[in-house]
Order: sequence, then structure tokens, then C-alpha cells
Amino acid sequence: MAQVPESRRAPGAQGGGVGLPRPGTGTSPSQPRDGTRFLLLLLLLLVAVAALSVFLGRYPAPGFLSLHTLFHDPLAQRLVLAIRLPRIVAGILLGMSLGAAGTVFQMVFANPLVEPGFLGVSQGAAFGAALGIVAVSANPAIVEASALVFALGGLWLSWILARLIRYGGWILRLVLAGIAVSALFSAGIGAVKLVADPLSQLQEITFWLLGGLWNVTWRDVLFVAPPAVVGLSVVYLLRWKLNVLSLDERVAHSLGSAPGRERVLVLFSATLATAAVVSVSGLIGWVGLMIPHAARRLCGTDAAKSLPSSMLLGAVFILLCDDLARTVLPVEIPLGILTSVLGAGAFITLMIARREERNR
Amino acid sequence: MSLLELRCVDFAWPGGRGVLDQLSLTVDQGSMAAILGPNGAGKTTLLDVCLGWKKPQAGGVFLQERPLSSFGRGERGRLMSLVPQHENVRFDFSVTEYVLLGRAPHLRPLAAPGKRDLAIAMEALEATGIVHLALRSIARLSGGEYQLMLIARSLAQEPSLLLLDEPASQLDPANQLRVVRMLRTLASRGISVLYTSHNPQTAAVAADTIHLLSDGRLRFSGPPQEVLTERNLLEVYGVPLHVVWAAKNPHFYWDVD
Repeated sequence: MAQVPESRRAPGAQGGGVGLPRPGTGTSPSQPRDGTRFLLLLLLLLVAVAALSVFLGRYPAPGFLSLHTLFHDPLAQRLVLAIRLPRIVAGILLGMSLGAAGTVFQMVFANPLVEPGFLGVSQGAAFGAALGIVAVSANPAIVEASALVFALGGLWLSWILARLIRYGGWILRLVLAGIAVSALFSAGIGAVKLVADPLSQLQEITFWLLGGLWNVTWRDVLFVAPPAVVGLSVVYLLRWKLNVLSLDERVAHSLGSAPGRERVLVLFSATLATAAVVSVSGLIGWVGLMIPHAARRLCGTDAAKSLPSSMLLGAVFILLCDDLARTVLPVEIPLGILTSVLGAGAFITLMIARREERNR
Repeated sequence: MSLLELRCVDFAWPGGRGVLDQLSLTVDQGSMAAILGPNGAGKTTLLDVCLGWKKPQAGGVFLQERPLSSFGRGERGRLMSLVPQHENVRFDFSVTEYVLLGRAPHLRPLAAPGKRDLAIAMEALEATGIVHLALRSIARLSGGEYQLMLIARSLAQEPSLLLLDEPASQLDPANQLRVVRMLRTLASRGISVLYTSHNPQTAAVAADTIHLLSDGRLRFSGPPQEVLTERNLLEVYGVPLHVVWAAKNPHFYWDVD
């Protein structure tokens, strides 16, 4: 073998943790790609954004709440404790769940175009919410419970259907089942909209479908946190394994893994977290699709790093969008609109920039 | 000692078409065996059965004289690795990240590879001669480099038995030679190699034992000079192939007219 220049030489000699090399390092040695440091930076960013979000809002005037007001104005204190804090916590859970679930879905389906709502979850939640609004009442607790039940119902239906389909491999069957179940629920939403009272219920449904965190309370957070935290923990613990699960099934098998069972475990965990957060927030577009791409761009494909970075990035992105949603205009801008507009914009920029990186 | 043994294995698709028929085969420790046969003879299925990925309807698969089904998944993964014919990696790992996936059966359930694993992955890159590609994105590898990377990944698994499906069929002559030499080096280090080929040339130059397979049956087994006769090849491929022995190696050609 020819001599290898020092700068391109393999890692290991570089000391300090297992710094996995990643694409591009060889051509641009000026950029240190230490994943751990990058994750720490993202974590700090998240803490900073969360802290800022506590002070940002439209009370008493648009902009930042001063410390003085916070200490002396009881209304400001109640506002921060009862409205802003739960909203921030819910936003972090929402962003982390969508980011993590997006990464899991894209790796497991070996397809960078899938997103977490794929297995009937998003449309199930939307149908459940619409049904709750029309059949019972617009009481948020009822709408959320109904959304969660139908989101999990969507997952369960996709699962049953995938087992019944007598065609193709397991992943293909899940995809087909997810598409079919989502289509059924979409049709259901259409039907519910048709019978909804156009003056009140239809608006409620439309607003829910646009997504947002405007009515999040501590009760909502307590309702969402347990399934979200459980789902996220499982996925986080298995993060390196996601790489193996993204390979062909027989290769994963030859590597001593049980691809069928392990894929189901991570998919189910990711979907559980998604179903929980979506039942409170409504449909939040683009985050689950775009954030994992951004994370892979920023810190490499290895899921041991791209999964946590996707979680942190998702949380930061949701918090920033939500800050805009509740601050810029006197009325709340639906979060789903902002994530889609900003997400698509950021995504396009990211995909156009740094073209030396990729060629697929 | 036999490392891998297939005893009277039958495999058929659920529809009923039989693929493997009463197939028996032994791979000894440190040996290098080739399964040679035409396209569709059942070579890949045979590897899948060895790997435990496909379960035979009858007969048994034994690893180190123990039934394969009695092995745990990790245990099996530490003994046997696979280089598939096509492996489509959809994500843009770096070569090292990809090769590290070979460490999976050696890791504790929730662990990620550590320094020792990285060192082993680097050794695998060295053994395959692609250390200089360690940091390269796998989307930018040539076909030959890609094949070497697949082999490196399976070496990082530190297997006793290496299964390869058509390891040289898509490579140019120089890369074919590289792969063949590497496989021989591995066998000389005590790693058993079982590989499939539809090309008698790549089978003849590397293997100690050649198994001629057609229609799911082993027609002939033995050292190359005994098995690779014009008569046997005619029976297996269905067209007359000429064999010329020169410089201790057989060479194959056919008449177009």
C-alpha cells in the first residue's frame, strides 16, 4: 500500500474518545468532527433557547419579560409557571419525539423520505381529534384523549394489516399497510368535516390540523410525558443498533441481530412517542422528515450521533418556531404552518449548500 | 474437524419449487471451498441455509458439530460472517463507520463500539488494503473498493467461517486477483472460506475444494483438477467448455460457433 498522508490517516491514533471519522473529513481537515463536542454544543443551545423562551412573549409588551417584572408582578409569575413553562416542556418533548422518530423511521425503512406519522399515526390522530370535536365536544382533554386513542389505533391497524398482507417482506408490508390505513383515516376526516358545524366545529378541526401548542397545560404535559419518555428512552438506548437495522435483512441477521423483532421494537417505541405528542400538538409538518436529514448533514450518518443530534435539533427547532408563533403577531400563528415554511426553507438551503458533500 | 456441515438438506419455496435437494457438504477448519454452478443453481440459497437465514425443510446444518439452531444469535454472528453479492447501503456512512458494524455480534446489547473495536476495524481495513479509504464516504467508492469494504466489514466480525456470495463476479481482472489473493491469505491464517461463483476460473484458482452445483444438487465435489473436467462442466452448464491446464492452473474457453 502507498503511504497515507498523516491528515488522511485513520483515526484511533487521535486519542480522546472514539472519534469516528465521517465523510468529508478527509477533504476538509479544518472542520473538527468530534461528535460528542457537537452534541454538547447542541445541548447548550437547547438550554439557552429554552431559557430565552421563558422570557419571550407578548406580556406585558411584545418582547422579553424583564427580571424585575418577573419578581414583582404576580400575573407574570403565574403566566410563566402556568402557561410558558408547560408549553416549553411540551415543545421540547414534541421536537425530540419527532426528530428521534424521524431518524428511526428513515433508518429502519432504509428510506430517507419517510416520516414518523407514516404508520397511520398522524392521520389516526387527526381523525380522532376531529371525531372528538364533532361527536363529543371541543374540550381539549377529550380531543387529546381521542387523538391518542386513534393514533395508537392507526398503529395497531397498520400492524394487523401488515401481518395479514400475503405479499412482500415485512418492511414492504408495513409500508403498504401504513399507506392504506392513513388513506382510510384521511377519508374519515373528510367525512367528519362534512358533518361538522361549519361555524364552530369545522374551525376547531382546521385549527387542530394546523397544529400548535397554544393550549398546553401542565395536565397535558403529564399526559404526554410518560409515553414520550418511555419511547424516546428505548430508541436512545438502541441508537447505535439503528445502523445495523438499516442494512439488508440478511446482512443484519448475519451480524447476529434479529432484524424483524428489533425493527418492530424501535418502530413501536418511536411511534408511541409520536402518537403521544401529536395528540396534544396536532399535525406538525416537516419536522420528522427534515430534522433527521439536517442532523445527518451536521454530524454524520452514524445513528449513535445522528439520533441524539436529531432529538436536540428537533427540540431547538420547535422551540424557536413556537416562540415565533406566539410572539410575532397578536394572534397565534399555527405552529404547523411555521414549521413547514421555515423547515422547507432551511431544508432547501441545506440541500443546496455544501454540495461537495453528497451525490445521491 | 468439520467447521460447517450440511446433512441431506432440502429447501423449497413455499410455492413448492424445490431449490436444494438432499444436499450434503462439509467445510473443514482453515479450508477454502467454492460452490460452482450456473445462475439459478441454488448457490445463494445454499449460503442462506448455512447462515441460518433460511430454514431447510429437511436435513440439518451443523456448526462445529453442533446444530446451528442451538446457537444464540450473537454466538453465531461471532463464528460466521457474510459478504452478500449485492448490498445496497442506503445511508452515507464513512467506510470506518460501516466496517465497525461488523463488531455488532461482539458488543453487549446496548453498547456502541469502543476503542478496541475501532482497532479491530482498522486491522480489517489493513487486511483488505483499504486503510487509505477509512474516512471516505461510501457513496464515493468504486465497485472494487466497495467489495473490499464489504469484506473488511465481515473480517471485523472476526469470523471462523467467511461466507461470500460471488465475491469477484463484478470486478475487473486486477480486483479479482486482489480478492482471490486476499481470500487465500485469510485461509492460510486459519479462517475457513466458503464462496460461490458462477465462473470456473475464479473457483479454480483459489479453492482447495470445489463443489459443482446444478439444479439444487451437488453433482461433484473434490479438488479442482478432479472436478473441473470437460465432461463434468458440460453436465453442469449444459454447454461444451474446454479446459486447458497451463502453469498449474486450468483455463476455460468455449467455442462460439
